[in-house]
Amino acid sequence: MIHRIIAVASVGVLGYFVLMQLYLLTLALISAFALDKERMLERFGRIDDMLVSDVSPPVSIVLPAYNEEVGVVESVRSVAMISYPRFEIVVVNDGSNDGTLQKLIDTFNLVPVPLPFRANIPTAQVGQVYHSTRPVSITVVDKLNGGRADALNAGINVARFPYVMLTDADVLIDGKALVNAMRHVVEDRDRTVAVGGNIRPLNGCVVKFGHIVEANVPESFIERWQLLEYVRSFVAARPAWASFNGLPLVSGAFGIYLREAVVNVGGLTSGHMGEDMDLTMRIHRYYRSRGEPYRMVYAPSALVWTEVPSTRQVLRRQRIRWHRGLMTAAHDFRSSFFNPHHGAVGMISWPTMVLFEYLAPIIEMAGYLIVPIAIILGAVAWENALLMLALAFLAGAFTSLIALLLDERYGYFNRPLAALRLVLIVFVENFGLRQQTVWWRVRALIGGGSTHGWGDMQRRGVANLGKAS
Amino acid sequence: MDGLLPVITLLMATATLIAALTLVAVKLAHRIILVGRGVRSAIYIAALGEMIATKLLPSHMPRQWARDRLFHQAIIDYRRLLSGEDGEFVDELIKRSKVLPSLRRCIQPPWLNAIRLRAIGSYVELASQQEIPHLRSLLTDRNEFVRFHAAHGLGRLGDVASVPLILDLCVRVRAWEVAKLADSLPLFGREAVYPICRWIDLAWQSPNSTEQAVAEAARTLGLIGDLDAEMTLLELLESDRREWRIAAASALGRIGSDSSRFALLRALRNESWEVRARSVRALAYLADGSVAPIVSGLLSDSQWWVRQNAAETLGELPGGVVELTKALESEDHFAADAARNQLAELRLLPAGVSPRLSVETQ
Repeated sequence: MIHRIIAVASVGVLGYFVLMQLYLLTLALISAFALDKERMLERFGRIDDMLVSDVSPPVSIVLPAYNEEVGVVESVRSVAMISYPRFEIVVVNDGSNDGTLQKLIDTFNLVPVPLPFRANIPTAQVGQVYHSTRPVSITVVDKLNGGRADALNAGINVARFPYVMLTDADVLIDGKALVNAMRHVVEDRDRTVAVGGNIRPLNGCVVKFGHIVEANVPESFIERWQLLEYVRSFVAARPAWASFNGLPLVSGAFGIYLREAVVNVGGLTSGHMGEDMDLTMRIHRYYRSRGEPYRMVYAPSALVWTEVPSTRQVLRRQRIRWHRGLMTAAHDFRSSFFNPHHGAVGMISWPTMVLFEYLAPIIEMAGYLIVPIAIILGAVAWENALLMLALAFLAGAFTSLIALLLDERYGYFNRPLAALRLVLIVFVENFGLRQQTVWWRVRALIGGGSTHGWGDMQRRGVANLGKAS
Repeated sequence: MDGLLPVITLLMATATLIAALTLVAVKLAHRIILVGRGVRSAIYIAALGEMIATKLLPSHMPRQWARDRLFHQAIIDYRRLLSGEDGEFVDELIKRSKVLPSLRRCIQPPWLNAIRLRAIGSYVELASQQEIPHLRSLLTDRNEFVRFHAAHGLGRLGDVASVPLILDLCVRVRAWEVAKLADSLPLFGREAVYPICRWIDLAWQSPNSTEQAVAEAARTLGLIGDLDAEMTLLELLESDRREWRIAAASALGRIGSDSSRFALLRALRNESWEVRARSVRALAYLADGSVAPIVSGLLSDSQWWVRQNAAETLGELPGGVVELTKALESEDHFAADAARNQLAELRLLPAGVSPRLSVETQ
């Protein structure tokens, strides 16, 4: 009897992986079509006309900063150099203990101003507001520490324009990212409430004057693996979700929202570990429950480069935090699970997010335990178990390679050595790092490991990422 | 199952290996292509530069040049840069290189969309007056990119007769294409004002006219800024369609006559807040200080955007700063906030004004 149960469980684990890989391959296929359409518009859609148009909607760019002394100036400079007709930068200093605020004041000649604003979203107490009009309109809000979500809410309150771009102070934004993202708004102003962007690891890239001058595959194994993860998620999955208006997550590193939509749902949830997913899902629920037409789109050519963890300790904390965020969201939005009233989000993207993201570490971990037991008990022949394991890994590698092939249209990382490094990481990730990540995510589910509201990321500064550690 | 598993694994291993090799090959090919493009671009720029400098027309040019988009780009860049005698020489080079017949062939439907679109992009930049009939025929192409590129080409060549054709097209196509087509209309210049006004008059009667097409036409009239468009815009400002009133309000500000000013002042009482917001912003273009006290009244509007636009307009009007400073003392907190915000933006906030951060909710 036990033999049979274990044999069935082993086949069940295999079946789960086959189903997951089929789902990911389907997403990659749909993404290929969506990316083709996007590429066509980008190349032939005369998008640059928007740059000289006086009807391009203005955008407030909100950058929350907590102890970002090392990279904040470079980030603000990169944002200030964005090509777009009308935008303002709102930096929120969330009670930093280092010299973040002073560095901003000194570099941009900020002066204290009694800037009036309405606290549409409640936040921790705001102190002084600083302003400068050089090189562009920069407003710095100094407030008491309240976490990333609270800082973003304060920035949204101060933002003057109808669209807010929520991002981080440790990112470099591509010069054409905003115009490529806002194109979607211009095409359908009435329905577009959010636009997500394409995030890339900045580690290994050479940055000069706030711009990427050379995009490289990172040197270290951990950073390179994260590059692969970002490509899998942002190139092979999100375009597909967005094509049927089922985007379950607009990434926190680059998301443009209709300000009114964020205010209507009460802003970002302070203390939530996955505040970006929480906000996306609440906006979905808000519009679905009112039956108002809306769309959340994904702009793959809106590129943003962000610093990713370069040590296992920081990566572990980040992954635990992300998975806890997903866990909380899975609980909060359980009513969306297979809910036909929530459209494609309720019927496709949210259930698959829960099944293949939230539950994946449990099932994978169970597989690592059950299969050896099945072999010892003789319930499964070791040759078959080995083949099953090989099949699961090969299917994963195949999906990753398809994602990298789709990514080729952006033309990054095309040095011969970079190609080999990427292919190598596709296969090597299955031996050690993958299992470790599964363990971290299982720990997140059972409550182990400590995290901090701002992620405890040790910044090297965006300008220094291309240099050796 | 036992027999099937090794076969599936083997197939998956083969597929993965092929994908890996493809990826490496594609990346290498991509790099080689990029290097090749750089070399070809340099050759074209140098060769064309030499011909223009020496004014020597070659008896013939390599046939493959006419098909290479890098050559198209190089010659487009020279054409944009040069005028007068040099510009005429570039036109002669375009003729001699037979680039236009080659591009015309590539735009025809049997070719793949990527090739067609690449060709139309260069074609509209290089086309001369003789190409107008062909460009007009492309307005009915099945591909939307080809259509709006053709509209831009016609705009560049100033073919006013095609303005009604483009506006008719706006009625039949999706919203985003209307916006793209409308972008081409200001290129036609003042000559386009009469056909646009006439088209709006006819569209008004027609049940097929879409709100967006007329609104885009009105916006174009504003961008051209010709007094002849005033009557049409004044009528649109009085229409029962909100989108038309909004577009007309923006456009009238750029025309700047007395009638426009009176119409815009009347529109400040419009029931639609979008019309009020646009009208008050449009008044800034008139630079008439006498309207500042009236604009100041809109600092107490119920809508944030109207108050914001009124404050911005006062910041630009002669005497507007005085009105903003007066509004600081207003009992209406919303008006005082809007004024304080704008004065802070202008760095004109009087000393001693309380640095209060307003925390009222809307």
